[in-house]
Order: sequence, then structure tokens, then C-alpha cells
Amino acid sequence: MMDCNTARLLLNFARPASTELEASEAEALQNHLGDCTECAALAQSQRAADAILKRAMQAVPLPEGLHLRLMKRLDRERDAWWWRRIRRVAAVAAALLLAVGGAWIWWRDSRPELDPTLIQAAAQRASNLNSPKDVEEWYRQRGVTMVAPTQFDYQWFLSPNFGKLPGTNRQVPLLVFWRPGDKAVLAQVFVVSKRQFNLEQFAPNDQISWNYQGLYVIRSAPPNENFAYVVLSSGGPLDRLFKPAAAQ
Amino acid sequence: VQKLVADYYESLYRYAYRLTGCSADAEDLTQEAFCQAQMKLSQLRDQNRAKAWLFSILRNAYLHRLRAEKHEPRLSLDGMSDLAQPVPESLPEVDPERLQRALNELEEVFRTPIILYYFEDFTYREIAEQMDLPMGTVMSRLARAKSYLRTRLLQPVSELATDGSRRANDGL
Repeated sequence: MMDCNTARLLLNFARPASTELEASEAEALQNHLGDCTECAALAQSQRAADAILKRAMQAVPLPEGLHLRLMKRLDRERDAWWWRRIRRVAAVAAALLLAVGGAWIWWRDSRPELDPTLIQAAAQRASNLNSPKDVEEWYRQRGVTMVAPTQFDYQWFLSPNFGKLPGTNRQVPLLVFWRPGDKAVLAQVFVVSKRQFNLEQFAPNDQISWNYQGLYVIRSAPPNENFAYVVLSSGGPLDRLFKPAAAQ
Repeated sequence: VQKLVADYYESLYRYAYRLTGCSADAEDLTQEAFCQAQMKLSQLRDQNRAKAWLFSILRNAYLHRLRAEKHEPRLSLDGMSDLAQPVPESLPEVDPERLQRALNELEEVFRTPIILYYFEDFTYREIAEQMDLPMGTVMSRLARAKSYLRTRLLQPVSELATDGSRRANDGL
């Protein structure tokens, strides 16, 4: 059975045609109002008071032309919004264009010119590795032990590198020799070791042991017979790259 | 947004007027609310909640202004009882301007729920959602605000005069 205090508390939340109160609370309140004349009178007066306050609350006159002014303002705001958006997109596009243009100009200007004269001069200077020892040291600094061929003249040495020996999957030291001139000759020299390949068919006598249309295999001489040099050459005769004594 | 304006501009303006107590401010606020609604229209996913959404935008705009302005200290109803109080049997009609003066004196946290309650028949749950408050808090504030308005506006004038000291003690 609901007491009067609870009923008066709940009266604040009991609106006609409203489901604010739990069903059980609303039923208990109704039962109480049916039994208690004092609370029932209070409920009636509260409802009357609410109706009066509601009428007063809603009695707000609308200004003349409000709807029209609202629509005009919304139109202005929409136009302004579009302009702001267009300006923003244009600014972003301009910034993007500037950045792309700048990058393109930088890329275009930062590429070195391909100058055959420079290449010719540089090639004639060859590298700063002027002897087999220099070349061996270059590879040693990169963790590779090798013996460079001694019969080549290192004034024609162009560059040390690594490359895959054709027909195999092995990366090996690769030396490039080039001698310009009327009978220009270019040779790629792959340095292979006994540990990697079976070299028994090639005699360790430091001589060209096989010649097949620009392909040579040269076995190093004792005491460094553990290496062989596979030479792929093109152009003029290979001995133009050898030291005078070896060429003879 | 045109439909939203057509459907709700009257109630939104009246709500704004009851919040601010000034027709010029109410119109500004209504315009601002619809402008914001126009920009954020994609956020309104459920058309059935359009009214609550617009009212919420308007209240946020109002609170934003309120924070920027210096204003007179308002009446807090923290000391008032939640219990319904008896009102005289013969009730006079309330002058809307007198109601507005009474509302103006209230703190916003009491003024907003009472306006929403009487004005647009928002449920307690909707009011709680709009004000981002627990429902119990809203119910308590509403009870006090209703009690304040009834006492302030529905008591006979003679009773009000003699009850002045008691009301002061009640936090009024």
C-alpha cells in the first residue's frame, strides 16, 4: 500500500497519457488516489496547475516574417558554405599543384646530364685500383677473399663488382676491363673458386686454357691455383687487355 | 532542411524565447540552430528524432552564448523539496510575461527541463538525453522547478506577500 509521501512524490511524474512511471508505480498511485481523498484533491489541483503553466509557457507570439528571414539566412549560409568549400578545395588543389610542380622541377634539374665526353674521360682514367693487390684489398674489405688475375693490365681495369655467373645461381666477384681505341675490347671477368666449382678440367698454369668465341677460362698459377677466371669478352682481341709480357 | 524549418521553426523559436527571455536573442538563436543543423544534416539519421536533435543543437548554442556572457546570479533550487505541494483550489491564469520573469531568475539547469517539460511534452528520458544527465537528476530538478513555478505564479498575491519570508527560507 503506497503512503501519502510516496504518492505526492510520484505525482510530479504522473502526466496524463504519459508512461513516465513504471506500470506498477502508476497502478499503485491510482489505487492510492482512489483511496485517499486528500491526495486525490492534490493530484487534481496539480494537473490544473500544470495545464495553466503549460498554456502560459506556450503563449509566445511569433515575430512577423520569421520563417522568411530564417530561409533567407539559411540560403546565405549555404552560399557562404559553398564558397568556403570551393576556396578550400581550390587552395588545396593549388598547394598540390605547386608541390607536384616543384617536385617535377627538382627531379628534372637534379638528374645529371648523360655526357659521353665525361664517360670517355672517366673510362680512360679507369678506376683507382691499379693492381691485383688493390682489387683483392677492395674485395677483402667486403668480406670476400679472392685472388685477382695477374695477366691483365690494370690500367684498363674499369670496376670491381659482384655478379651472377651465367648458367649458375652463384654470385661471384666480377671485374670489368675495357680498353678503348680502334680495336676496343670489353671483358667481364668472373672470379670463381675451387670451393664453389670443380676446376679439375682446367690446368693450373696461368694460361688461357679454353677459347670458345669470346669465352675464356683462365686458371690461376700456383701457389694460387684455387681460382679460375671466366672471361666473357666482346670486340677486339683479349690480349689487348693483358700486360705486354702476358700478351706475348 | 527546408522541411525541418517548416516543421519546427515555431517550436524552436518559442523554446529559444523561453530560454533567453528576449525575442531578438531568440530569433538569433533559432537562426543559428538551423544554420548548424544545415551543416550537420548528415548526422541526423533518424527523422523521428529531428525535433529532439534540433532542440539539442539550440540548447548547445544557447549554453555556448551563456558561457561567453557575464550574467546575474540565478536562483538555485537545490534546497527545495521534491514533494508536490498543495496549490489553491481556484487558480488564476498565468501572465506569460510573468512566467518569463520567473524563468529568467532560474538557473539554466532548472530552466531547461521545465521548459521542455511544459512546452513540448518531452519525456523525462528525452530531457535526460538532451541534457546528458541521469534521469533521476532530471526528475528531481523538474520536481523542484515545478514546485517553484507553482508557488511563484499560482499563489494568490496576498499569500505571496505574507509568505515572502518563508519562501526565502525555502530557497526561493
